[in-house]
Amino acid sequence: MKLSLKNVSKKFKTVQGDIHVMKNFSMEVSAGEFVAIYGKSGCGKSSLLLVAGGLMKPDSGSITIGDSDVYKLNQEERALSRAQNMGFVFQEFYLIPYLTVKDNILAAAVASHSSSFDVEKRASDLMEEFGLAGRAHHLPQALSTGERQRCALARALLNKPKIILADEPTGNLDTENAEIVLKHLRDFTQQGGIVLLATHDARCATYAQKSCQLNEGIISQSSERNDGE
Amino acid sequence: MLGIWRLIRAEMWHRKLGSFMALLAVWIAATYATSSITFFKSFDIRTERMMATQEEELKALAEKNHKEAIKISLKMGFNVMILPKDQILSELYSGDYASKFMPESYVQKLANSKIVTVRHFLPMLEQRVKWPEKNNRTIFLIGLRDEVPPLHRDPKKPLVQPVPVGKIELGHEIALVEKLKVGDDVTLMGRAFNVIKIRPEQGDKGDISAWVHLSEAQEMFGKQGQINSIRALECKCAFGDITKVRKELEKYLPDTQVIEFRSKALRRAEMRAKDLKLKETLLNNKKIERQQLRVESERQTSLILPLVVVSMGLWVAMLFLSNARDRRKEIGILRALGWRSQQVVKVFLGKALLVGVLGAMLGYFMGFVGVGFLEERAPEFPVSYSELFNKSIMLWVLFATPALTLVSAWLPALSAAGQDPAEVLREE
Repeated sequence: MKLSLKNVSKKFKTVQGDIHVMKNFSMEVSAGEFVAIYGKSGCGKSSLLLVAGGLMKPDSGSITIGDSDVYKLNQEERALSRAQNMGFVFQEFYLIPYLTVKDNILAAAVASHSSSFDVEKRASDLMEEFGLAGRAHHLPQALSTGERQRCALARALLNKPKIILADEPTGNLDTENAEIVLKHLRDFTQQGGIVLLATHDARCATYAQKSCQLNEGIISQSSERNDGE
Repeated sequence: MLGIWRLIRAEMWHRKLGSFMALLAVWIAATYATSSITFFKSFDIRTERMMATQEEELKALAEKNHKEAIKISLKMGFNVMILPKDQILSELYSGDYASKFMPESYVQKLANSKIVTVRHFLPMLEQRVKWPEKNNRTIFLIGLRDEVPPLHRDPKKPLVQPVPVGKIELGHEIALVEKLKVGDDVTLMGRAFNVIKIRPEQGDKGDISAWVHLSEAQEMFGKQGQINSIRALECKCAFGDITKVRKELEKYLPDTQVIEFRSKALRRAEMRAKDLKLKETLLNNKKIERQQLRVESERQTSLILPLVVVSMGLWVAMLFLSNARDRRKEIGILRALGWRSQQVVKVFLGKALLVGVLGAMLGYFMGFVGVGFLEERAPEFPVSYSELFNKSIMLWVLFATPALTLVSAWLPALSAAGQDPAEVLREE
């Protein structure tokens, strides 16, 4: 399994002129890799994740997951592919306010139609793993920020995805909770998953194997860690 | 396992006010539709019942009047007088008797005919005479014989008993003044008679009349084989309709004319007939009035109901649009989780269906029970719930209301499903 972005360009038209968020951007992430994308606000980190996640079609270039070119699929097929292969984690958690913790996690299963495992059991296991077992029937508003992000991460992992796209997942967390989240993301890569994380949190470098600096739509600097720590 | 329905229920509970407003719109429309249609059904039942009762009353009244009219006509005796054609009526009215003559055989002719408008034929010969043996006092001498029954009909009991030959019946006034009583022998114009009856006081010329057998009167007047009137009774089929009698008599006795006695009793019967006619007219008018009221109400409802339905549709559409706007983030994240646009449409249409079904049930219940409550307690012609219940109305409301709610939520659902998740997720 590999996530490849080849010569991807994306610009937004504004009254002040075009904003290029990706310029002939290319990147390849293999199974088991944890890649952190750094950059200042507005440099295109979030757009990169949305393009990679099949949610925002690039102006040019291609994104492939394994052998499948994401944007050659129609919208519905892309959605199904997203449900089965990807998990999203956001800085703002985006939990559904009227669903309990358990139902928020299970919301991911509605889209995947997964029958290869027991989603109820999987959700319970994830809640146990993320310290949310006692919060299963609580609404998001009753959770701490750390619990909310753990809930969002559990939701992203429910369908056993191959790729996690995380947009500033530690942005609203204290050190303890940030480390819990990053540890879980690292564990996911150690089990063969891919993590593409957009951040400006330096702590992430400790967990990522590869760090890239994104500047005006291109990778201006890249570094790799060899020890995996 | 989280399903779409659980998500819809949770969302509706979370946004109680918006959900309740949508439910209220559907509820009001369903209540209005149910109550209007149920009211029409009740109106029809009440009209039918009201008309049936009044028609029954009218029928009973007509029957009563008819019986009374027959009773009256029999009680008052003959009410038709057949006179010679040349009899001047002003003379008859001023002289109180007919002065012209016609053959007695006319009675037989009448009896042999197939005439139906008159019956009980009684030939009479009547003259105003002086009673020489009683100080020349003026009396009306009337000669009568047996009634001649129509041959084509069953014989009826005669209305008057004939006076036998040699006998005389006297009016109350004559008997009183001349001090005569039953059993007395009297002489009238040289002919001896025995008094067999003193007639009770009538307050008319009958009080100064004397009745003898027709043949004796004919001899006394020198008018053998002559009469000057035939008394008859109108058949109930022609009661009060002298034109009908005249028309038929012309066929059999063209040399005669007919007059009808206008007694108080007859007038009363006519008044009642007129009253009955008026009541019939009033009933028909009421029927027309209720039909017009029904048409007018139906017309108003046909204008208001679509307005209510369209308003409901717009209201629901606006609420769902606003709901879709409020849920942009939520829809964005669901799309990011892989929910397909069809699933997002299902979430909105499922909510619309739930609102529609709930609103329809509440609206039907309220509309039906409301109208039923009022109709069952109506002071006149109450209509019960079981009579008001109509399965097709119920099914119509329970199916059409959710269908209309779905139509109203259709565009908002499509707009929610069509929004770009990337745009929403980039907003932060």
